[in-house]
Amino acid sequence: MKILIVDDDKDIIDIIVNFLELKYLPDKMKIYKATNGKDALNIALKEFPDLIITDLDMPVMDGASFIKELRKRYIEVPVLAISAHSVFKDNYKEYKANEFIKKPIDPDELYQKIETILKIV
Amino acid sequence: MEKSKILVIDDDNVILLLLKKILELNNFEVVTFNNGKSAIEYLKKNNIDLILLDLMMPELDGYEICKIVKSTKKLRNIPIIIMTAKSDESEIEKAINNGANDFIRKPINRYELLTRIKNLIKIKKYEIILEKRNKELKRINQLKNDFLGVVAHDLKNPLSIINGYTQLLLMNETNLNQKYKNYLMKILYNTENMLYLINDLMDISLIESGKYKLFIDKNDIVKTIKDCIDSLSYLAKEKNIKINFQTNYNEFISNFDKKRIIQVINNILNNAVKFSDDDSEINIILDIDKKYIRIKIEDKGIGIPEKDFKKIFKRFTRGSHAIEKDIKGTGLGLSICKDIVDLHKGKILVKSKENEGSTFIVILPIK
Repeated sequence: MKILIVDDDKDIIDIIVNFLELKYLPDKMKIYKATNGKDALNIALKEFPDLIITDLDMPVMDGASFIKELRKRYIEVPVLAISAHSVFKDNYKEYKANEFIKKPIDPDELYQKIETILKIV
Repeated sequence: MEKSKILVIDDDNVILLLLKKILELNNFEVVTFNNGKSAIEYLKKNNIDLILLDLMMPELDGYEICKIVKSTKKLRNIPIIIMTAKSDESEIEKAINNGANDFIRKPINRYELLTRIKNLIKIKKYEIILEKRNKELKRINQLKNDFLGVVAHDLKNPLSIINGYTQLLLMNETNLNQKYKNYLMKILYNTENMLYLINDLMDISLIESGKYKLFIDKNDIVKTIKDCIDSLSYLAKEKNIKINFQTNYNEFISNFDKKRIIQVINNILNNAVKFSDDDSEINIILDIDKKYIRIKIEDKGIGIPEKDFKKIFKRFTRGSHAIEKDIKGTGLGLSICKDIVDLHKGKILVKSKENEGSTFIVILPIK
């Protein structure tokens, strides 16, 4: 399974990768990383990931714009949005993300939300 | 102090001379014109504090001049007093509708004129001051919001990272002995506390800037309370505190902001557990009548002195008893609870006796 993880902080990406590898088999996953929306879009259009986990507040192109660009191209990949701001908890759907998780990330909540959105699509 | 400058427009040169004399005697600077066109040209290039204007004039009449002045951005704030020999009210109404601020009848009473002029110039002065202050306030408010946005991101991110790696260390626990596991749990616990504080500060800033919105929809208050009790069960178990929930209802639907009411109940329950001794009990009683939902949370903890009953709901203020007993807290939680309940048009009450316990009652109107 191809997973694209996007966050302007490399440590956050590293933590998420570690959480994922603890629960799911590392050799069944191929992880792509990006630190801004623009690079994320380029990778997504080239590699067609099965799941995207993206922060919403990033410089250059932020998470919301990145998701918008994806959806513009009719790309329905499941997207899990993350943010330090809890304000997105109620309107992440406006950004066309499938689910939302707040920072700091609770690993159990992470697993649960990933499994939920993978089932929908 | 600078003299106020008045522009007088009247086709009668005798009146112009007379008014100029009266006004200059009263310490105003005066410029006169006997036709509208030249007056408007002058206005565009000079600063004027007030216009005294005759209604009946050939070529450009008073109504037209009012319209032009009030529709020109640079001139729009200049007060206009129209002079009219007619006693017909409809003429005056027409002038006011065209933008005139006040009127005075000819033959002009000197004191009436001076009083109106002074009042209108004062109003204009204050309008300018207000506009400046509003601009400054807007700028400061934007600064504050930008600052908060930065704080949220820049403080929360490192905290999230500390939290994340600490969780990862704990998840690999097979390599760790209990003593070090406890150290890690303390680190985790404190990062969570810091995050609660940051969130509280952000809530407060939103509340104070009037941007705090409630998301109200249909929710089951019984289930909401039960969820709160569940989420606190771990903490209560640690101190062997039993939480009892009494109600006649299996379910009751009403309109409220679920997330925020959970925040309120959690806050009060958390305090109840925090301030209670080990092995004690906390009672939650849900009462519903035609108009109100009443949630009573009783504990047998350290209690609150009566003099602090109002204080504890204020920002950054804590009960003196709690401070004496050295129990940690920021003094923000209850003030936010009160704001949330107030926004729901409800009430939050407290009854307490020192060393015997406290009862908090949250009253929500049924919508």
